[in-house]
Amino acid sequence: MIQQIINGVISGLLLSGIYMILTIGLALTFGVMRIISVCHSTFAILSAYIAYWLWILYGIDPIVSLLVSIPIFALIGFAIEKSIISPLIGRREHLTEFQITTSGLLALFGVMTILQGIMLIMWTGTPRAVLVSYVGSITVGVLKISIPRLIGFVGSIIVILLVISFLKLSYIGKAIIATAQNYEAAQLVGVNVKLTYTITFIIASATAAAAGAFLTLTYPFYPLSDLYWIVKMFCIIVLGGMGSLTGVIFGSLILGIAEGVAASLISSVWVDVVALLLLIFILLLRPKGLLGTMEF
Amino acid sequence: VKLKKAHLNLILVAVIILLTIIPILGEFPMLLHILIVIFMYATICEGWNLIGGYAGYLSLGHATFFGIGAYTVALTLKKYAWSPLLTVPMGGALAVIIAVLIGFPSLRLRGAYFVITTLTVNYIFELMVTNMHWLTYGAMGVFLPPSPFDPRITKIVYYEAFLILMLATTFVCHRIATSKFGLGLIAIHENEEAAESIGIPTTKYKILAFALSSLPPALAGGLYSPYMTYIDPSTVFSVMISLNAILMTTIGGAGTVIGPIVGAGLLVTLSELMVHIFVRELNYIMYGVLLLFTVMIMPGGIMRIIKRWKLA
Repeated sequence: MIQQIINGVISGLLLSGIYMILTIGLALTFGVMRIISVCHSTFAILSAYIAYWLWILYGIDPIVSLLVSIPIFALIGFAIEKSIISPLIGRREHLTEFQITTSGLLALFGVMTILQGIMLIMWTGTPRAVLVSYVGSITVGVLKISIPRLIGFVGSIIVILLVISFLKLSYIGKAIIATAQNYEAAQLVGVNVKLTYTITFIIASATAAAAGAFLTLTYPFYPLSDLYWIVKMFCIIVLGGMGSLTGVIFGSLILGIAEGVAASLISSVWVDVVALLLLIFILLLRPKGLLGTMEF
Repeated sequence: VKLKKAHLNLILVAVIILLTIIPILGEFPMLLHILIVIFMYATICEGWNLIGGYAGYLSLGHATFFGIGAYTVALTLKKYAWSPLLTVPMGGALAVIIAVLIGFPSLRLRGAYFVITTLTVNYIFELMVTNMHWLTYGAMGVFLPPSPFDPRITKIVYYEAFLILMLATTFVCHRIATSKFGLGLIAIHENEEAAESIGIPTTKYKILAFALSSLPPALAGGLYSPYMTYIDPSTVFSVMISLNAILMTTIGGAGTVIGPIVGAGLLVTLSELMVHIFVRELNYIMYGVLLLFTVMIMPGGIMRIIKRWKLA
């Protein structure tokens, strides 16, 4: 029993790494630009397919494929921000914040369905998986730790630390945080808000690319599996507080560990229900999330 | 050309009569099926439009109510052989109760929480129905006994039922849109803080709008399952149903009474054409491009364009 719980906590912890890297970009775009980037998990799945292609055609490891996919997604992010989000936010004077959120959501829905269609045509609906050479597990006493999961977890933590230190230490990062806190005040002190939006979206797209590569290490994927992940990501940002980066870390840990324990104690088919009921309870008890909003 | 109101009403009556007598004019099984799908989606979209179009709160989970309606009718028909005439309203009532339960925690808050919760709830329902084998037959789905009547008659009966459902929903939505309640919803959409400050009970209105908006999809789902005679959780709780409702309403014109019908008619027809001429997957790309075009170039959808053109 105890052993089961401990194993559940460990596997949940490793799962939470994937959750963190998937969600951090979503929280960042929501916190800074007030836009719900529904196509974020679609980016991750697209990046997973790029990793899959590089692996099956040239035998390149998914981690190495990051060198290709991060620049590609930074470019995609730049193009989408310039052509779609920037014109929408440009109408800011005439709209309330919530109207910007909803029209952004609709536009990015469009992006999501277009990408899904492209993926369905290029790779069909068959689930795919990457079989890395280092598959297996380490046994420490009674604990069993899967190696690909551990690598995915460590990789995610490294990327998240990079993003957070960029935000905290560089001038542009500080400008991004200032824009998130109050975009008018940021404009007053001379922050180029348009540029910070573009950079935010580029960073978010790059983290989605990383998430996709780490995803391939442990999970099979198909073109519409982005819908499965986006539900989880939405849970996490509500759990932690919308747009809060520390909230993402806490939310991912709570959701991942709750799912891991539920999987080892009950049955794996009920795991998702347990996790989602947790969300409803949090919404009832602490409507603004565990940490409140807008903390960086 | 400036059309008078009397002329418009005349055209409307003519269209309704034409739609009603189509099945009597000859045998068009394919056309009837496409029209049934259009009526079904138009009904779902009219429902979605109340909360998503008028109040501006995008629900990503209207498939939940469609699925609840479909499963209520299917399970009672299969296990107790209850008539859909009785169970379709039952499914509707159940959906309204569940909508209030979802709306209470998520609509108290302003902003994006509602959007996120509705998607999650949809997923919870799909999972629960898939996993509760003893009640719902699980992922295998429910096979229903075929209708005792001649297949042609059955199709006509369901055609007329879906037509009546769509017309009734549209009529009710038209009355709501012009009522104090409907204007209150529009005020919430325009500026919720200002609406609250002039004394509109925003939370009450939002929850009421969500509860009302859950009814048409549930009734449509209730008619869908005996019509198709087979349902499974991944079809009737599919996120694609919610997404289609959003797409069709937005492209047709969110916050207008006719917009959802125009959008449903246009997109269902286009996607049928796509499936026959090209591959099914192209639908996704077409939907996405149309949605982007609507949001970026003509916010307000086709109906706003028509209205502007009529005034000019």
